[in-house]
Amino acid sequence: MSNWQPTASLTNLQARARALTQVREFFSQRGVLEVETPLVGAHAVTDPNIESFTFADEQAAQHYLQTSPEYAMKRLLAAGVPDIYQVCKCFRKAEQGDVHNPEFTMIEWYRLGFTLEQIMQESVDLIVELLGKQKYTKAINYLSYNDFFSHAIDVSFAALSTKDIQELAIEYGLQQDQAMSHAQMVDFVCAYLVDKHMQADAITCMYHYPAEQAALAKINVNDPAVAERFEVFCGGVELANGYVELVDANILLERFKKDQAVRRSRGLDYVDIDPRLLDAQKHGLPECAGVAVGFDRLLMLACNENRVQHVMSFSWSNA
Amino acid sequence: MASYNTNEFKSGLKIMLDGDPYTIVENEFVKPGKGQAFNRVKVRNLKTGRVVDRTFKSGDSVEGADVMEVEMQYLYSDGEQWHFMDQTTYEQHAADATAVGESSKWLKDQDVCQVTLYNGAPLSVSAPNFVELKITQSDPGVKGDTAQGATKPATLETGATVKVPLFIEEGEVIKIDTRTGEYVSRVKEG
Repeated sequence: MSNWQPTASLTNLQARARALTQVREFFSQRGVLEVETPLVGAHAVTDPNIESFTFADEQAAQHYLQTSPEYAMKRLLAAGVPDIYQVCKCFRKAEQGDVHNPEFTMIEWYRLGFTLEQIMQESVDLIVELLGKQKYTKAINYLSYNDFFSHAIDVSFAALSTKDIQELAIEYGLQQDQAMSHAQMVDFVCAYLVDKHMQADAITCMYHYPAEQAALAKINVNDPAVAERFEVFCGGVELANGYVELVDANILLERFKKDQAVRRSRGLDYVDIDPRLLDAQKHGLPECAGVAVGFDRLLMLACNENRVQHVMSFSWSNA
Repeated sequence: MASYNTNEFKSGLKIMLDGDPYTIVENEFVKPGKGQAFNRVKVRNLKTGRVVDRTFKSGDSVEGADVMEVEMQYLYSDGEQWHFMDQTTYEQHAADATAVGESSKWLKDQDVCQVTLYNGAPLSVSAPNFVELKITQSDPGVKGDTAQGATKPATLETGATVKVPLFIEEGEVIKIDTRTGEYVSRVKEG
């Protein structure tokens, strides 16, 4: 017999439906407009740590399943559409585990003129609302990336040399038979510390990520070493990633080219830069902040489950 | 030997690490939304039994270990080596004291054991979970000592000593759980 049955219980499917309604009420009350953008596009992210599913259409043209609705939503903002949100499916290749499913649901929104503090606050508001009364909502911590390292190992991230990171990686059990870049080791060390040192019964907003990990966030005006990027964790589970958005089209192009160079050095597939996003930002992306929340993970915690598959009707293993 | 990509990792997979054979006990996929993906694993060294945590960059590959679990019948010991026979091929293998380890306490001729072969040679031997052994020496239980759960030592035909209830006598056959080394029950001989 095949594994035809749902991976979620009826109770969890009911919780999922309620949560979707809550999300829509949350944004409706705040005057944020719901939008829908295409799940399939002609361009994909250049981010070297994210792989898209691709397929060819009947004319053999390459198409991509979106890994996030970010580019399309930014094009709407550049065209003059104000505060927007979207609840949609996203797809990421080879991301499979207890808190990963290659097809998943994202809540993503953009707020005009929001500061880092405002967008972090709104992310926490949504998360708390969906979690309900839960062990995680006992405390809400705001901690910079540097301070998180200080809290975990008594040394600020800024004070760590490349060699220090390498030594920590070895100490924490990183197998290094194959070549690894400094950036990859930093990812490992940070993920290790999140697992071991994040307060288990609290929501933690970690902000001011190192500039090298800015992704599409603006660089801080007072400290060029850090970016206006944040993440929200519930215990050790990453729930949200957001930025005060980089609006400068020239810097955006530089970052995309850097992504492409990293892809080349790691032997990953070549990804073209999305010309429509670039043109939209040249036209003018208004000052704004945006964030994406993993809906399935949030629901998993709200339902006291330990696998996202338990809140999805069918998961990758039986989709 | 084949190599395995991290996306093939699962518990029970045998891999080589730092020159030793290991078995994967747990495998967890870890990926920061904007960062490198990793596989965090718990692995057990098949030589020492020690469990350690290791993390691999997802996409990396690891050499597989030539390790097999084979059912073998225990034949005899010559004092230095313990001799076993593969139940299907009738091939004989000799295991040294390191490989047999604690299992030697429970082995009786004819018993069928799980032998782990590494590069074709015995690496470890697990005795059956339950064995039936004869008591060769045990003092009679002290009269009047009727306290619940009172026990006395008994020496078995293999030389091992276990604690048995007071009513058990020398010459009897008893069943033992080799995982805990504890007495389970008396065996009525047909």
